[in-house]
Amino acid sequence: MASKPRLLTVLDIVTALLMAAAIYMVFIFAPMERVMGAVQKVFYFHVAAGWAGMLGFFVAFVAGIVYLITKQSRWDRVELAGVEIGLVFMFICIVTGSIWARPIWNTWWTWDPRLTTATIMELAYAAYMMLRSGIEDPERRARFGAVYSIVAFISVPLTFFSIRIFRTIHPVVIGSNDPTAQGTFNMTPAMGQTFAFSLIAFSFLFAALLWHRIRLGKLQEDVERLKLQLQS
Amino acid sequence: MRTAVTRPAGTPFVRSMLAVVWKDLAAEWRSKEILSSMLVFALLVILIFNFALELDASARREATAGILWVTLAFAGTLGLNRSMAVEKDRGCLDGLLLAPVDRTAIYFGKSIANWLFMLSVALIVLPVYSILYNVNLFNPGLLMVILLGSEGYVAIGTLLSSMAVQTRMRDILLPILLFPVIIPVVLASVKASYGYLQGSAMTDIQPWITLLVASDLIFTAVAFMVFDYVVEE
Amino acid sequence: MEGPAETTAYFIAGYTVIFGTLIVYLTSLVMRFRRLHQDKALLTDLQSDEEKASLQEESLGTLS
Repeated sequence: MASKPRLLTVLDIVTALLMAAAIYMVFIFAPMERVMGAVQKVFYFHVAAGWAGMLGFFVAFVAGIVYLITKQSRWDRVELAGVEIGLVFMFICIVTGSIWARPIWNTWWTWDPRLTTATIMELAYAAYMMLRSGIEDPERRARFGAVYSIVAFISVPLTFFSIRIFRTIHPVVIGSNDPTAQGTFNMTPAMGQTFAFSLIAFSFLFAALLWHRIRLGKLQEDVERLKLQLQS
Repeated sequence: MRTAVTRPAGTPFVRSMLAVVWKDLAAEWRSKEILSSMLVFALLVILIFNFALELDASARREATAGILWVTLAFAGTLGLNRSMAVEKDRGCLDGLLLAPVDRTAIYFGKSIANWLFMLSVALIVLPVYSILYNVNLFNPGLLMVILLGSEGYVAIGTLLSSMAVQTRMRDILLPILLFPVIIPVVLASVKASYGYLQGSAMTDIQPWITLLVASDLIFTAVAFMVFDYVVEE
Repeated sequence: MEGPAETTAYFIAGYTVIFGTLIVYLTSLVMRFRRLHQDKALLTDLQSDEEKASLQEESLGTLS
């Protein structure tokens, strides 16, 4: 395998710096929210993780389409990397959301559209992992994986709208203000800056992880090929 | 020449599609294994619900739509799995794929056959349920919802079951793959059925019907576009 | 107006989950990388050994 590209090293360093800065902003720079107190600070990384998770599933969706058209195994690696990292970030998003909901909504769990959609998504992509593990032939595994990553991603907006028709209590912090939502707050400029910075930091973290995971996939493939060569 | 052979109507696509449907129905007519297993299973699920939920008259009215769709969804996976596994085991799938027909004709043929199986199960379950629980289920709105809901269900179900049978886990995998993506269809069907059974205002039911039709269209289109890649060897 | 609610414990729990999960994932990536590098080194060694062996066999074959 080729040695680590210089750009990746740069990306790693930039990501580490951005994450350190984002942590500083969340813990020290951002002001304490007047009503909710410290737990409101979970919001910054909660939304950023949700964003990174969606990004991962979207990357997998696009890579799935490109794989079916080109049949190049590198797109399969991109797709698997996107799903795996998406699962990690979505998990963070769901658990932190639940922790935030406990003091604010007074319950660990509620069947809110976003919460439910995120959980169903997590289950669908867990099913994706099981599908892949059930197929030995790498070419077929890639094809089926691509098909399922497309189907799973298409169903996400439908799931969301279907649950949306129920009443929601999820706060919409950015954009419209729904008076029935509980736990809404107005962002001060410092909060806005912290929030924007968290999003940027998580985007970089996502990109760096994705790149590393794709390289891991390449290495895995090389090892498998070597094994096959030795057996024959 | 033209008068000697009475050719079935339609383009080659429609003809090969109907041939697949016909083949499935004829095979089922001989063996009856898919329909009978789906049916017995569906009735058992309804019985278990009766014990599990302690249904009194008012609870019954509330829960009927949900019970009906859970029963249909579970029986549906059973039928989908069986109908694809039969193809795979007897080597029919390979034969079909070797035949010089459009792959998507095979997809639509299998989907229609599965749809018919699901509808026949519903057709028997509905009167049985009506008798057992003393609820009148013969409601044109409900019948339409069953038609639409099972279409969306088999559209994705046929695609995913043809993937599942080609893996190591086969039977277990289909529900795991299918349920997370089919939620919009099932949810919209339950809510629309509930609305019709309760005699709700059309404005309450309309969003669910819209969502159901939209899901049906999107799922059918996606499955149609990617089916080629699932069966290609 | 009362002060902010006392929710520090939830705040700490939230960030423990975030960093915990990220660290676990990073560790798993590093471990997988390390194992695969080892496997690869081992396999390349085996392969070169085998090549040598087959070369020797060939030369033996030409001698006899």
